[in-house]
Amino acid sequence: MTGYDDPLAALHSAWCDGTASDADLFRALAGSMRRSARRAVDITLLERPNEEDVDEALTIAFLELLRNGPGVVNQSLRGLANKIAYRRGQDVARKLIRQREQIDNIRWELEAVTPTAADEEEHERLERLYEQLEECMHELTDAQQDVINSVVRGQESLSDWSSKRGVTYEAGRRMQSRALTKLRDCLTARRDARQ
Amino acid sequence: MDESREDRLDDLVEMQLRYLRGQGPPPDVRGLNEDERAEVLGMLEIVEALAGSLPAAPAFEEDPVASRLGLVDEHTRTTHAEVAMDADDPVQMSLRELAARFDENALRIERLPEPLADSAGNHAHLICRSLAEAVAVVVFETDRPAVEDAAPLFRQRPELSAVALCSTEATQATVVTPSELEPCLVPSIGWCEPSDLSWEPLGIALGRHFERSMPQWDRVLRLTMPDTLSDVFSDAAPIVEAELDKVARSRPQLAHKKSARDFVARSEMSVITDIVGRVRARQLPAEELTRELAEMCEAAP
Repeated sequence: MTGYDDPLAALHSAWCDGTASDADLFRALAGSMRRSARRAVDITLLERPNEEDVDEALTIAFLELLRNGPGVVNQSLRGLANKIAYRRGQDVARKLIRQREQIDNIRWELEAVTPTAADEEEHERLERLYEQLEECMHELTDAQQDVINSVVRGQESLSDWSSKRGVTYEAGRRMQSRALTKLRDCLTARRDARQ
Repeated sequence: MDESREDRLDDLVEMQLRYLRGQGPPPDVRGLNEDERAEVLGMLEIVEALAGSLPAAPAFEEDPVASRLGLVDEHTRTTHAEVAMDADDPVQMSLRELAARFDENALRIERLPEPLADSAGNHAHLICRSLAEAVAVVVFETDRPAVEDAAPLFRQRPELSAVALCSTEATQATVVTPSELEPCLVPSIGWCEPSDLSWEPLGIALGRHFERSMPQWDRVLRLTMPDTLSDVFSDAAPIVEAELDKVARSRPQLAHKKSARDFVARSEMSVITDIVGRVRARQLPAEELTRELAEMCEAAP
């Protein structure tokens, strides 16, 4: 164990006992798995992911998680689930590339998901960071929230965002920079408060 | 932080965003000292955690993956979504009247699991769904929203096909589609900014929108199937003649091909033209066609 508590430890136990339903697991994991899958499709496909493709990756990943069962979890159920979702997002993106380029004679190996504690910890850490950042979003002004939601969390380019709001690109960039700095300061303050 | 360092950090953030979107290499943090690297990596990590996190996951009852996996039964979905109409709410009553204008279940009024907010602070609690449309209904109290105020709703829920902006009394409403948020290029004029909104009662504005997209099955059923191949038969004769002539003038070397050429050259043009006509009129299924051609070949000297 690396010293952090799995926030879904109770759910994991219930899954092991057989008292947690598939719907319970989905409710708890779908959000973070969807984000991981979307991230993977985005970075692999070189273009804005279609939500249907993200849905497909999420479906495959969740079924794989169920098939693996609770026993493969090292220390973080959510970390494992996100890891699987990320890999399946990559696979969906590669399949799309294969189809588009009609590459049928090259075998793209599905990356076998061998869960390791380090993998789970990495994805769990990212998910915790995301949760803290979500809480810190309330500290931003409306304009700062808008630029973060549109440009960083969404898929809009900074130049488009600036143009729509009638500001220069440099002004938009400064807005984004201040928003990210405020988020970082909020995170630091929370960590300091916990220590 | 001095300006050049701030600019450098902004550049790296932009590189990180491009990298996470598959549009460039990962940011290069070499050449930074330890403090700078820690600061930059911390910021890049924040960007990585946030990138691609919108649109947010749909509610469990509305998640298409949950439906596909059979985790949501129809009863749960319907019970959660169905709206108990408030007779004192003009907007809800107007929507109910609108739904009654169409065929049963062609237009459903559902309550959103979580309200959606536009950039003016108005909220949408209801969504109208048809076969091809999902329209969120945003109710405003005082000032009419502008067209760009609807943009956040499309970002939050990409599946929305339109947003209806409506006053509390349902007397002033307009329907905004995603394309209307963007400037458009009119060849004779040039770039045009999003146009001003026109306002009319909710039933009229939303009704017109759905009427345009609702399939008109009764009109389709009344259409007569045109015989688009009626001229083919008259064109078949010269085509067959030309093909037969081409085959007759060919000089194959192999014996079986010579036999085939001779068979085709001796065939009656009217017989082949008749076969073409019957195939076109769907009077000669594939098996019968094969049988007839085989009989012709066997009967040939």
